[in-house]
Amino acid sequence: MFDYTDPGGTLRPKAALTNYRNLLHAQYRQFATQARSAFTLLEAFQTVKPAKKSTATVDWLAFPKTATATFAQIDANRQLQDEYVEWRVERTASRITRITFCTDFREYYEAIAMVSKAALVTAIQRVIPGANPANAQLFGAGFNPDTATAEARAFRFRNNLANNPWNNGTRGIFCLTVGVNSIPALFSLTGFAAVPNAAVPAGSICATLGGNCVPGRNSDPSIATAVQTLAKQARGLSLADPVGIQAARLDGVWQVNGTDVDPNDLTANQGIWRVSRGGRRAVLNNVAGLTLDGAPVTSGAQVAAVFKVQAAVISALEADLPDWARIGQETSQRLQDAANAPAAAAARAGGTP
Amino acid sequence: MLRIVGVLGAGLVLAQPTLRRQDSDQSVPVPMTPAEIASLGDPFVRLVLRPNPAVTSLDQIDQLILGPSTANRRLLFIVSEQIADPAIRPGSTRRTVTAFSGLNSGIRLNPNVMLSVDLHPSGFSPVIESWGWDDAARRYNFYRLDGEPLTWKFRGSSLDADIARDRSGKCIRCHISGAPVMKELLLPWNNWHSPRSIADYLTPGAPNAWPVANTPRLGNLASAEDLMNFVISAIRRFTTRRIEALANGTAVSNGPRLLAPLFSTTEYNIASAEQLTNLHPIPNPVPNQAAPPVAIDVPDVFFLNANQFAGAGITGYQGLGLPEARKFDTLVKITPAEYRSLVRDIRTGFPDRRGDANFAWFVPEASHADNEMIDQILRRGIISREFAASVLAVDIENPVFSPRRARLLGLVPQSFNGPAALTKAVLDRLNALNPQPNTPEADFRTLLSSADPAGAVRARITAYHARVQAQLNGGPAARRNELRRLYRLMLDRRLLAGNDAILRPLVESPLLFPRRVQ
Repeated sequence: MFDYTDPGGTLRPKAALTNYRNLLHAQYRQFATQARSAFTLLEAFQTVKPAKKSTATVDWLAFPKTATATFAQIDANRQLQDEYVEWRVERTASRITRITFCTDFREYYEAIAMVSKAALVTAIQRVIPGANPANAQLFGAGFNPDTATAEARAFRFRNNLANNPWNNGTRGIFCLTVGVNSIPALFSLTGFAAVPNAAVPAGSICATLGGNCVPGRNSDPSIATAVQTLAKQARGLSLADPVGIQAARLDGVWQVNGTDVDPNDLTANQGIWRVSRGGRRAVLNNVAGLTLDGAPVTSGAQVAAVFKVQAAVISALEADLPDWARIGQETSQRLQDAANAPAAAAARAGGTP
Repeated sequence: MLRIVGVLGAGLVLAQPTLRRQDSDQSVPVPMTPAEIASLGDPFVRLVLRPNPAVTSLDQIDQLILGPSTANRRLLFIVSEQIADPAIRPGSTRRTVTAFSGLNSGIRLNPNVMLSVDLHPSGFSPVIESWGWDDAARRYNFYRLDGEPLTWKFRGSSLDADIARDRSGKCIRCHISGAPVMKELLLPWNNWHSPRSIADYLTPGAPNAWPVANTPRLGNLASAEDLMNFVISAIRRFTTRRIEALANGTAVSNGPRLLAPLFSTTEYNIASAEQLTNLHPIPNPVPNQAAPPVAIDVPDVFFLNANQFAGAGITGYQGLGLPEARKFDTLVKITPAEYRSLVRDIRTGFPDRRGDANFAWFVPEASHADNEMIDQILRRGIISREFAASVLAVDIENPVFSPRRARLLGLVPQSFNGPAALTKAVLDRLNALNPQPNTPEADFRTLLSSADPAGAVRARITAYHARVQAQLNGGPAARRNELRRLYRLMLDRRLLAGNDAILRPLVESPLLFPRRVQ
């Protein structure tokens, strides 16, 4: 199995990292065996020379394009925040003090919840210092996490996220909650979009993918088109490690008391924009005098409209990939062998391309 | 060009090449004085032309703009009516726009300086156009590197561009209001490289890549979505400065000029459905049986100025509190067979080939430039929501190029202070006119004098929606006729864009708008 990277650096103890890797591997494996898909295991790229493989980023706006709602309504309703980015707005009286954007998947924390409640609380505290979530806040009422199975803890944790004050915005936010903002959704989208389809232009592929791609969103069609374009170029591809959505940058004209500030220069932005957890968490500090395009910051959606996020896709020509990773080999034993192999051995499974 | 400034001993003393001023393509460039150059305050002149007036290398210009900070970025965008054609043909060119982000020497780069250069299959044109925003002077300055030898010219500014009479040979011929122009501002960017329509032949390493694609500059190839954000910001700030020049608080010194974007189409953007047509005849002719792969959703902005009536969306307009306008977004879904029939039966195409745009229902819409102005004067309390709604509801079914609405601008007083004064002055004029029934003036008076103008507009929007819906649901013949009516209206709107005396230059190629052909 590939040594999948911990994107946030908080998968502790080691069992949490193992859980997360198993979860991810199941996704990679499922879509590597998807018939006629150019999607393959990350192991396939380990034997490809650096010059023969490339990693492309697909970026999109965090603003939820499908939401026909005001900025205030979008802020207030996490279910509208469907671009793999969700946020929390903090206020003092009527003034916004801070906006926290989050792209960490809930599956990440489920992997920790499977270990123990204590591990989960520790992980949340690393993101929200001082957090002290109670059992009922994490898992809902009437549940004893200490006696429950790992799977039950993960299930209850996931199902209670909308009520969890440390994540629903009441007291904090640490992971995505909207149904379509999930690891399986990202893999389904990528895996199915990676099936070359000569009947439609790459730009139309999203509409052919059924529920796996929502044409009205910013993210889905962008990812699907990019992936389909690679597949049509006879390139094998996969979601790059560490898989996930990262903050790319803030556009717009930002000023503090009339003086220009580049929020993307993290060393000189006066602390207005902080990015952490490998780009999976970003905080806008609404300091006095801060303006965006000449206007004060009055909503998270206003910032989301200029906030770009990205996902990374690794690819190489099919001819440069091991035989088992190519289109048509989805049911091959060698692919299964590669998927089952320990990490170190996987690099050798494909031989020299 | 080097200027001889004096004779010292036996030798000539040569001054640095200097920036020259050229008012139009037809006029002779003349050297600018140091005082004139010093009066220019945009990032391009400050970072590039003042310290290095002789620079002609694109890479050197990039470096001068970017400066030493590794946090600064260069982004390259590509647009062409032939973007879908990967073949290298004689004369193949694409237009590039280079934008920058970050700070250099305390000067903000985004969205204050951009370059525009033609790209050929194997390299870039030596001719460079540039603009820079001078915030103190509230204007864009335009520059162009051309001639033999190559020299930089200052090509005028955006000052008073909105009321300019003579635009011939000037940058404001296309920069109508003076601000940056990105006609296809919002998704899906019919003619731009974007995630929805990837120009793979311009992406480094692609199997069919043009030679230029593997040069470092193309390594910064970016999506039109990024430029969209730059341009939205640029127009927002430009609009703010225009208002500051024409109004002090709610006291307006030139009403007709400030309110022109509410009444008339001073610029337009181009909207489209998000679905590809599969009927685009570039690069290859359209096969007989071709049809869109999926059903086409006609955008709401085709029917009315939905962005302004309803507000919200990526541009964040406050809007007029009429969300009913967004219902048009799901009103018309055209099946692939129906769409194919429309394009074929109404003989749509370009001058030398039949077919449609890459994305369906490609049609001029109310511009961000105009809507941003409306939004800002609403937010500032210069006009009321009721006044704006009443204006936009006149000839509501023509959100752009409406002569009926445009002629109402003549009712706006030269000066006024606040929305109540404006409404009263306009109503006084309307009452004095005592307009004939069925005129725009009569309609405007009815709406504006209504006890609930917004409610009256809401009722009008609802009735409009119901009428179209009834036609579409009225049986096969009624549906076919209604779709043909709407399609013809869309084609007419393309024609209007090309025929407008001022806006005509924005149709830069006969391959921009598919039209009726013989």
